[in-house]
Amino acid sequence: MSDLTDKLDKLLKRVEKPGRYIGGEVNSVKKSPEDTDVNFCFCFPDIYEIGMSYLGLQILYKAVNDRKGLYCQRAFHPQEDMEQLMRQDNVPLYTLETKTPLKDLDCIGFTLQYEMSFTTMLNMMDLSGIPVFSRERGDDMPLVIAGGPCATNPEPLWEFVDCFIIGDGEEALPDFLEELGRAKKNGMSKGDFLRLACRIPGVYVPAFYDVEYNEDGTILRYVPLVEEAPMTIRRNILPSIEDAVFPVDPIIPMVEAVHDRAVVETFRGCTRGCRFCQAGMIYRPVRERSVQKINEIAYKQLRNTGHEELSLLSLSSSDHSRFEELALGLLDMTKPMNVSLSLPSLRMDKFAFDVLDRIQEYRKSSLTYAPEAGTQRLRDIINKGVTENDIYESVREALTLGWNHIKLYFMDGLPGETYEDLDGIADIVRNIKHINYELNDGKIGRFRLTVSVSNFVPKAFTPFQWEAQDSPESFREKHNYLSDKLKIKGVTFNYHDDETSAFEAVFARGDRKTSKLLYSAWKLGAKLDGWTEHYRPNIWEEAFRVSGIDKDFYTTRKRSFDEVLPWDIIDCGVTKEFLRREAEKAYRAETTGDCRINCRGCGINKIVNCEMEGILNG
Amino acid sequence: MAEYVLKFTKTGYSKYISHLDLIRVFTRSFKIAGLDIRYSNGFNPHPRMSFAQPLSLGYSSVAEYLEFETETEHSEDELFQLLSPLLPEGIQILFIEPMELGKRSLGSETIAAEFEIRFATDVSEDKLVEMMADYISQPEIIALKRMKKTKRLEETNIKGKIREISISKPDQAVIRCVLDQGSASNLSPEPLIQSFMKYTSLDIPRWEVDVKRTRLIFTDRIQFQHIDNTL
Repeated sequence: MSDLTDKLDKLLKRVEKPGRYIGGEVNSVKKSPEDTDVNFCFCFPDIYEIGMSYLGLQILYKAVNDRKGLYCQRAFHPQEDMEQLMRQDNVPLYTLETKTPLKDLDCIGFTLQYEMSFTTMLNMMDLSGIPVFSRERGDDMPLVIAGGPCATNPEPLWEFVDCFIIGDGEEALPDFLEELGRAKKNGMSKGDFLRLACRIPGVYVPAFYDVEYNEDGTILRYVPLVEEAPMTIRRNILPSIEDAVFPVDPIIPMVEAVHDRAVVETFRGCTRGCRFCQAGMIYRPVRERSVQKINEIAYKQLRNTGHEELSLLSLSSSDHSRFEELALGLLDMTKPMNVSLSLPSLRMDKFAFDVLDRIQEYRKSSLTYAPEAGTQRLRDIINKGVTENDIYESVREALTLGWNHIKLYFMDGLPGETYEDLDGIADIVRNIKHINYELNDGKIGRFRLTVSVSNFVPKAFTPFQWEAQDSPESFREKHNYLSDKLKIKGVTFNYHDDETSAFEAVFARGDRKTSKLLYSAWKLGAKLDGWTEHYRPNIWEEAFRVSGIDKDFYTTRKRSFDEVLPWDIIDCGVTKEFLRREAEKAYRAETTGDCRINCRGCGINKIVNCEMEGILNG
Repeated sequence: MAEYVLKFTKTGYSKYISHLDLIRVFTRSFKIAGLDIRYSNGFNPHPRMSFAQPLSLGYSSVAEYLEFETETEHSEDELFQLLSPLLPEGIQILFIEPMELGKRSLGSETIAAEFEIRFATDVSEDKLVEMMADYISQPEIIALKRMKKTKRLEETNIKGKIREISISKPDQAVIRCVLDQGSASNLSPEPLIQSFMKYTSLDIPRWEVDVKRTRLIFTDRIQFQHIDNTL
């Protein structure tokens, strides 16, 4: 028994749900670390139950472990009780598979799914005994890499991460690790390897750039410090996902995960072009899996895992070009297997109702709509191609078929929003309630309506990347206003915390200076900020004070179109000109149609084949 | 229709799999194996399977029993081959055999269990043996025990529930004991550990103590074909 195993045993007896910290799950991979060229750890900066629900982990775990010389293990952030004991007994963060301390590996990689996990990333490094600053990590320390959607604006993390791998990771990550393996064999230093890594597509090494600023604090320019460093780093884009690595034998979590179900990604990307949506821009172009392939993956996964639920993953289920065939086929497959099928983000048309009616024969749970904004004018500004009539017709159909819980999602603080748009939200709510009265002989019956409003956070690589965010005060006033307006019987109103949106916003569009804020907040004890029970607003206020970061500069300041943006160093495939054009159309409340009807000139088809371009035309 | 008993271990890190998670592990293994496990009738059907005695989280064991029913008969070998690869590290099948339990269950036929309680100490073996003799010769052994009905910790005399007890020190101190374990009378090792440590003033924190279940003792009505002795 190794020293760590022995120590661990004494810790695990004292913590809640020790099953999170033991590994050994069915389908987890055991290799001999001594016999592999590169030992890598996939780090998810949140607790086990959250991380194990994330499909990307399962995909990359397989993509890396399928390569002979590479070993991918896993680590998550422990809960408070475990963290305290680990620090007290000097037990470093270790891999679940072989209980190897992270600091003894060749490379550790973080997935950045949400900005509020940044402090957790730092804490995981610290728990591993790995210095958080890149410059303090010598050749004896593992290389620290990161990827995921938040890596499209990597700058807030520039001091902590050695290099970022931007874009689709299925091939990029294992290729990168094999390159690291060759460098290791040749006895290359970390610095030399990073110079080499600069030439790998999609790899950004922040240390090889200097940033010069204007007097007003905006960026003047980026200056590459080594000749290998490219002027922009283009996101990795898989031309097709049909044959991309996909796990049909995913790890079955030991402790029940948040989403314990089989999942198949049906397509990547979205053609609708909502102007607030980062995912709709940074995952272009739409790449579909064939119906046959989806069926095959789904079947194998269900057979191999015994899951009782199958869910489809995409940005909008029913936008798959052969969705009807797909949904009916999966329904036929899952019924006899006693597996329930869930189809998230459906467009609620006649077909969707038919399918849902068949899926939920006995149990009609809630139906969710996301109009996002209360008036047609504002929905046109954000290019959300939904009309009020679409919603009412669909709700009428739903209530007739026996659903009685309707959920509505809106955003507040959208560019161009006025209080009339908030009144619009209340109007929609009242109209839906009225439809229920009509269908229900003037009684409320079992009807329930939940309205959730989240705060708009402008994100990099969207047409709204230049826009000002609402101030916390303005959000608060709007929430109060809505609370009053929505005091309606049978209606529940939820809204998001005002403060977290501001911190999220700072990092979503943060430059290198914001790393000071992140470091201060972590030093003051911030971690797992996405959890209400861990999130402590006073720490963040203090962190702003200590780091001298001007919150408003990042949140409520409107950028001019010619400002050099921190994420200009990354080329996500969609051109800045397109984003600007879309922003200008938004100011005129002009919509842009779906690109399956006509190409809208976002620029992605100049890089890679766009299979959806104009397919609905004629 | 057939009934089986599966004996398995729960060693290494698998001792930290909770009882609820263990149920999920087996339910899922049956499903993946494509086994025609029988389901209960009713609104929310669940597989007909149950454990003889739930094991406390953090205890290891080499004597866990699961009974389950299938629609058709299977050979022991087939079941073994199907299920073995589907279980997490540390959960190892020792044997599977058919058993007609009828209305009875392994749980209702369990009467006692043997445990091995280990801890590191500087105290010599002779001294430990002496301590144990003193401890067990008390007229009453008072310990805090969680009451079944009230769920509260109450002081009770546990002496009558200790069937056998001895201590030795091969490398670490090892208490071997047989305790009542069943529906009529039940004693968890916890009150025993706590009262022994208190009586002897050994002052060893609970997390330094390892507990392993080494044997379950059933009524004579339960007879295994396999040799059921894993010491």
